[in-house]
Order: sequence, then C-alpha cells, then structure tokens
Amino acid sequence: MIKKRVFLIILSLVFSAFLSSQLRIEIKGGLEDPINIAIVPFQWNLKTPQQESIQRVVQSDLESFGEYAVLSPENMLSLPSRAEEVFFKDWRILGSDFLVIGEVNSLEEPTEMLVNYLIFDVVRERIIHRGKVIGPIVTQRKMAHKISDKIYSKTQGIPGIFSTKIAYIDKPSDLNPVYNLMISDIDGFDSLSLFSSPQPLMSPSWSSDMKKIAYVSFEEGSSRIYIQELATAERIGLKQEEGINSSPNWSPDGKKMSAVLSKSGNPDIHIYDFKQSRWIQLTNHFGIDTEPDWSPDSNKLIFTSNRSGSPQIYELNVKSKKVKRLTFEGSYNARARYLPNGKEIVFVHRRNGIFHIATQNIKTGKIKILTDTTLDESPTVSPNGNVVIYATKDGEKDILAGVTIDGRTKFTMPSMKGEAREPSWSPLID
Amino acid sequence: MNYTSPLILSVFIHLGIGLSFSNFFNIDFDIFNIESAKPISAYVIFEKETEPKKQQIKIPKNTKSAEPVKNDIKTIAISSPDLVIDKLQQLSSTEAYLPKERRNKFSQSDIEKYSFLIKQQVFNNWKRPKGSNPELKTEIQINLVPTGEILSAKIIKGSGNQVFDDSALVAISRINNFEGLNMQTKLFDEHFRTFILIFSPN
Repeated sequence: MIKKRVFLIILSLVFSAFLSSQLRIEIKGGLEDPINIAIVPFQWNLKTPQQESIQRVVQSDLESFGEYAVLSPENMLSLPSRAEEVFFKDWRILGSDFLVIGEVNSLEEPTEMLVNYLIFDVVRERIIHRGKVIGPIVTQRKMAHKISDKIYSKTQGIPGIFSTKIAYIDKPSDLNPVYNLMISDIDGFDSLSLFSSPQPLMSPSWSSDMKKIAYVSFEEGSSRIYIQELATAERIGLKQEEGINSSPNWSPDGKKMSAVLSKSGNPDIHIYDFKQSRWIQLTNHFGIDTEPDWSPDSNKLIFTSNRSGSPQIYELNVKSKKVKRLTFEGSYNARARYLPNGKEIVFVHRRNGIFHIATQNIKTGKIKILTDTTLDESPTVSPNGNVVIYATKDGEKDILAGVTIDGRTKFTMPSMKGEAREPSWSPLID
Repeated sequence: MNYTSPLILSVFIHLGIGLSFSNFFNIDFDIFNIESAKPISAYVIFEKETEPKKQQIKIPKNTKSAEPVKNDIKTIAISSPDLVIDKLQQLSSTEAYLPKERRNKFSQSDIEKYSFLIKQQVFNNWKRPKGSNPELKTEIQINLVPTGEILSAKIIKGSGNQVFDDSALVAISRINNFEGLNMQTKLFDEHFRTFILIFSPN
C-alpha cells in the first residue's frame, strides 16, 4: 500500500514536471535612482594631524556623476569604525543601501599609512568587501580615489574611474603665456605640466600602459609627433614627414599608433611601424581623412572624412583596408571615439547649426544627443564607458565639461585653471 | 513467453497518458502531493470560523474603503470607521470573502493580475547597477507562503555579473513580504507558491 503511494507520488512528480511549467515573471529596467550610501568619517589613528578627510574625497568622487546620494555625517545615528560597532537597523532607518566604514593606522615606516575599510550591504546585512590601502601619507587623495574605485565597482558592477587621469592642452592666457601639456586627476586636482612651449601643442594621446603620452608639437616650426615618457620626461620625435603630422592615437594593444600625414598631397590615415621607424599609409583618397581612433580590439579605426562632400565618420578595417561609412544623419559628424564596448561611438554632431556631443550605435545607426551647449568638441570617453569629457566654452573661456553616457548628469571641471583644450582620458590601470 | 517487461512498459505509457489528461478530468493531485502532509495553513482555519454571513457591511459615509465590497454580506455592527476598514481588510484577505463557487476557480486574468502586483513591487525596489549591459539576465526562484511572505529566494540562473545578481537579491530582501496577494488556495498553490523572477535591464 505504502509502496503504491510512493510510486504514485514519484510518477506524479515526474509528470507534473512535464505538464506544468513554472510561472515566470520578467522584470525589465529597474530604477535608475541614485544609490544611497553612507560613508562614515574614517577613524584617524595617526600622530600626524589629518590634512584632508578621506571620507570627504570619497564623497565628492561618488557624487560627481549623480550616481550616488551620500549621507552626510551630521545625519548619522552612530559613527562606527569597526564591523562590531555596526547596527544595520540604524542604517536601514536612514535609507542607506550601502555603508562604508574604516580606520587609518600607522605603519613602521612613519611616512606611510594603512587604511582598512569595509563595505556593507545594509539590506542583506553583510560585508561585501574588506579593503586595505597602503601608501605615503602625502598621497591621501590618491588612496581615497582608490577606495572610491572599489566602492564603485562593488556597487555598480563596472570599474571606477576616480584614479584615472586626464591629459589636456592648456592654451596661452594672461596668466600663462605658453602652451602646456597638462595631466590631472579627473576631479581637476593634482594637475602637472609635462611640457611647455611657446609654439602650439595638440592632440595628447595616452599609451595603453599609461606610461607615455604622444602629442603634436610645432616647436620646430612645423608639426611633429612626439612621445614623452611620464616618469623620465624623456621625449622621442617620430619620423617627420612633409606637411601635416597630426592626431596621434595609440592602439589599445599598445603595439601600433595611428596618425594623419599629408605627405601624399592631402591628409590620409597612417600607422607607425615602431620597428622600422617608418609610416605606413592606410587610406588613399583625395578627400581629407583625419582624427583616427582605434577600436577596443585594435583591428579597426574610425576617422572623419569629407570624401562624400561633408564631414562624416567612416570605419576602416586595418587588415582588409575596407572602408565603411557609419554616419548618415546631418551634414557634420566629426571627431569620433569608440566606446569601450566597441558597439557605439561618440562624436561631434551638428544639428540646426549647433554642435552637440552625440552617441551612435554602429549597428542600428541610432543617434542620441548628450549635450545641448553650442560649441562642444573633442569628446573623450572614460575607460569604463560611463562618462564623456569634452571641450566647450564658458563665455570666452575654454573649459572642460562632462556628461554621463545616459545624458542624465552634466558637470563642468571647475578646478582646472587656465584654458583647457583637447582632453584625453587615460586608460584604466590597476 | 515473457510478458512482464512489455506489460510494465505499457502500464507506464497508459499511466502517463492518463496523467497527462488529468487536467481534462479534473483529477486533483493534491492528495498525492507531499505538501498535503504538511500542517494546514492558519488562514484556512480562519476560514472555517467566519463562514460567509448573509449580511451587508454598512460603511460609514466618511470613510472610503480601499477594497471594493463585492459580497452580499449584511451589517456588522462596528462603530468606529477604522474598525470597519480593518474588518473589511481582514475579510477580503480571507477566502471566506469570496462566493463559494469562485473559490476553486481562477482565470488567466487572475494570474496576470497577481503577476502584475508582484512585478510592480519588485520593480519599485530594484535599483539597477550602472554596469548592467542589456544582455544580462538573472533568474531567481521564489518560494512564498500564502501571506505573501518570501520564504526563500534562490538564483537558478546567474547573469555572471555578481553585482547585478546581488542587486536583484537586495530588491527581494527589501520586499520581504508581497502585498495584495489575497487569492484562492488553488491559484496560489498552482502558480504562486513557487515562481521565477527574471531580472533584465531593458
């Protein structure tokens, strides 16, 4: 009897698996609200006084693109610095999704410090990351940026970009009568001049290992492409050709460099052969081909060309040399850059006489306008694909501004002094 | 001749055919179900205590009941308007509130209605992380008790992106208890005791 019943149960289970499929409910989208995060001021256990609050640097990092709402310390119910002091209920009441606590300790080396920090998932009441950063006390900002990066990647699922750098050209002004090749943190702090010249400097481009920068200098009277080592300030001039030598751009695999030369009579795309120190011509057209950028897999190049009569974006397969036109909307599309996914490009798009920064899906051709100021140019994409920084005008002044790739958050980079042009975002280095 | 093995095979096939037509013959497998061995849920006991009274509830003019009164239940003398609402909500959350003939029947639209309620609550509690590329997909199996409380949530098909999977689990933890799932036992048992939530960006 019991055997029979067991048999029937098993049979009914086997067949019910075939007969009834489970109810499936699909949730698409989700909220794009900012993530609520609480960052408790880190406990400072050093004898030397604290110059800059790590918590404040992390807070301003996370708030810069509108992706986080950071709880201010005055509104906190407690200020824990160790895991056992955390009461999740307190943080749930305050509406926090995540909580960060930490402490700064001394090391044997008196000029260095150790930051231990913890990231908590408040809703599920668990630690999602235990972090440790060691560095010289004077590099507190840098260490704070590292912590911001970790928080970002643990809560957004893509790498943070707060430790990356921006290279740009500082044009002569009343303050500073020369051209400067500058690099700075993306929040505008810690800026540094790598090279200065009374003659124009143009088009900085980072190497994939972030150790070198290529740029164009007119110091010899005509344009020439230089590569400068960051650590040693050593400069190498690449083989100079007659006419234009411009728009150097390093391939993501670090092996090749594309540029624009006009030795054949009009500007064409070339790549540099580092072994034999010579240029190899890729495009050969009577139109102007300029502003190349490498695809993330280093197999393709996009460039601007007026071969159809107006500036449009084209894609070139480096091996087969096949060229395909990408943009068809509008009579001005230029200065394109790939997004890190390789599926979209960002470029300058003119509509109704206004120059916008726009993105386009390569496959579908769908254009999305990100900015609505009038003279936006030279977009450069963050290595995580989430932010675009571009040059624009604030009245008469040249400034750098930024926009998130969804177009929702716009910002200017206020702490950059002088007249900034041609931003170039560094790659992501661990 | 040995007839045993073809006989067993034939028994299996016939049983299989019989079982697959069980829906037409309205055979209730619940009696064979392991679940039936479990203690009866509290709300069913409550049902017995409050057999539908042929009375109508008089709602004081100054209150608006959120729950529509469909039944022809007559007056229950309750003085405070708040109490009336409480009582109404209590009633509507039990099966006793439904007419007898509707208790064991449900339609596709009922499934859609409750699926929508679940969908809405999940959506409102899910913060999608930035790095969610459109191809990501996480499937989570949810086990409920009839009150709507979530017993367990298990990832049965991860997206490969830990932060994305976690964001879905956080949404479920935030909900903890689905509201408004006042449905017939049969409907609940067949579709909502266990179901799958699929999270995908766009």
